[in-house]
Amino acid sequence: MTTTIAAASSASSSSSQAAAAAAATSTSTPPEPKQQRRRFPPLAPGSVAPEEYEARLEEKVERVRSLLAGVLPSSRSEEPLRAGEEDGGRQQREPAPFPLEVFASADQGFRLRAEFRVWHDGGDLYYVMFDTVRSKLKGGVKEESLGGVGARERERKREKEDRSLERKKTKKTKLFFVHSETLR
Amino acid sequence: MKPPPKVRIDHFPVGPPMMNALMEETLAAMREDKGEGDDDGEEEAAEAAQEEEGQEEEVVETTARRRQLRRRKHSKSRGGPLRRKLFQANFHTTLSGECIVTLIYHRNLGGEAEGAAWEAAAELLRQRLLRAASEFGCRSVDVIGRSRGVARVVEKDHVQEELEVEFGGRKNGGEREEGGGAAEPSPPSSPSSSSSSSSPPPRRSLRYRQTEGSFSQPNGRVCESMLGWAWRAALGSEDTPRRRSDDLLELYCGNGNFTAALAPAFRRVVATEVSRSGVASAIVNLAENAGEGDDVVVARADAERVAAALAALDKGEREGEGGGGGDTIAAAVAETAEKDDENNAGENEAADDVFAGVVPTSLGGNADLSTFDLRTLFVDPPRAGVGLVTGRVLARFDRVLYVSCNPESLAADVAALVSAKGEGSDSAFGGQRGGGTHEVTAAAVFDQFPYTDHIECGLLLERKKKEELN
Repeated sequence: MTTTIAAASSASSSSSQAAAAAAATSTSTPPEPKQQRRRFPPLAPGSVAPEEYEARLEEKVERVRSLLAGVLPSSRSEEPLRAGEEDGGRQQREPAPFPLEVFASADQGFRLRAEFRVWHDGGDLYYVMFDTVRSKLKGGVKEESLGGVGARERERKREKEDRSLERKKTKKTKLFFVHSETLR
Repeated sequence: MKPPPKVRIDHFPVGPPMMNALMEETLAAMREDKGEGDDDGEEEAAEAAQEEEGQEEEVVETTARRRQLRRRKHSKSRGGPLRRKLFQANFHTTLSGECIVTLIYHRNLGGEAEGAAWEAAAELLRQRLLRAASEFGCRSVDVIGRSRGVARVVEKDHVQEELEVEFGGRKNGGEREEGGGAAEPSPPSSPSSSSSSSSPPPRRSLRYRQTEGSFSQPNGRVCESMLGWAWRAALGSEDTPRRRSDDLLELYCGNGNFTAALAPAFRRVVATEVSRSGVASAIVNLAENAGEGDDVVVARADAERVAAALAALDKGEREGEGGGGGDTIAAAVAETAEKDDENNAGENEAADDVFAGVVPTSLGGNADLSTFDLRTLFVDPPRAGVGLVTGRVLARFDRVLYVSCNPESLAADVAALVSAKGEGSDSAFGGQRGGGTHEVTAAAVFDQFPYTDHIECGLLLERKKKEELN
């Protein structure tokens, strides 16, 4: 599984020759099963994970490759090896994946257009997005991971407790404060 | 159905710093935008909270109760002309630094007093946003207010984007194309390929008008990669980029994003798009980027109708007759107009206006498809793909350059080209593809939408040479 992915990853530097070379030298494996387990769960809307960018892209590229499996020729499998190319004899018959030229994005600040719902919360207002992607996942979204309805409910409860404590000291209360670190 | 959970966005690393600056400043302005009687807001909220506290023992709030609370909170959020009933905020930034902030309201901005108050506040916001975002490269800000059926524009509704595109010879799979290049000789009689000035520079800056609310590629840098790849794929194997001697048909040309980049690669180009605003933008963008020797016709027509016109033209040629009534793009345009007229008869004049600008004067109004040597097709269709009608004409092109945001519809659309129909031969050869009139000679993946499942991909399909067909 990892070998073909490695071929794709080296291409993400947008050097197609590197991709072709990597594809030619890697020990190819038989086509993967169609239903791959995804290694990376979707992110909350509006967030990035630069340290995972390359690996996430590789996963996507592999998915594209499997979706296009019926269309892409299994290239170079019948072409003779070029002179001087180092290659083990046993690899000669195995088809190399067709080179996919991969163009990576910046890992943040890449999206030039965005739309936000504006949420009026008491005296305050802020932007919200809807977590449509993750709410469609099997089993739903884990509440503690985002500021969804459940998290807000719990947050509100905690605030109430805080407020009653606060009120003992002063009449002035701050309302509808949401801890930002729980709402990434 | 339960709505998807909301996520509060305080910081938006997906967008560039310029966008974040605009977002923050917009929010700050909204928070300061107090209306009459807003001072008691806190007090009222405190009352509401106390009421809530009284019911603390009630562990599970019913949906109805939650809605009631929310409604009350909304009625409390008054604010001034900018803030009151603000429902959505859209941010449109560009690599060039021109930005649009669109504010959408659940209140009518149409009234004279209401509109004037909003526009005055929006102008102040516009200046404030420009000051805040200028240190991040922001060059201009426009603010647009929308409510049902109303748009108030301060000062304009479009931005100018600038993309730097790497042109140059094709790098990928060049060795596969040696024979193919020879099969397409460029005759010396070709109007433009003989002069050296027609060779485009290796790097070009393309300028595009993007209209608020209309589609534009969301990831500017990746769009630059796409344009460069499409250019190299379109040109073919030649190391030194040179204008081809045949013509290009582009369907779904939108605002001319790809058309402007590909025009210098072909003798002539026919680009079609069904959306009125798309065609209008395309005309502006093509004029803006027109290089020496570029020859582009933009026509407002439905892709399927153009495909049908093309199929009729081919049929007419095969039968040795001079083509039927459906052989010109004018017919496709007329049909599209008719279809429109059925839908909204009142817009006839507007449609005529667009048509008047659609076809460059040199062609006198109609582009007769039979006068073009259309051997390359470029499509970047919507997610659903090109569909059956257009799919059938793919095979008539020697080269099909297909960019898609949906690999599944892409695979379905080109399946008939690369594999013999109805044969189960694929499995017999252990996954080797056989049959079919075309084969994929270049493939690319563009990460337009990082961290999502969406991805853009491109294929170049070329007709197999005779000896390869069996």
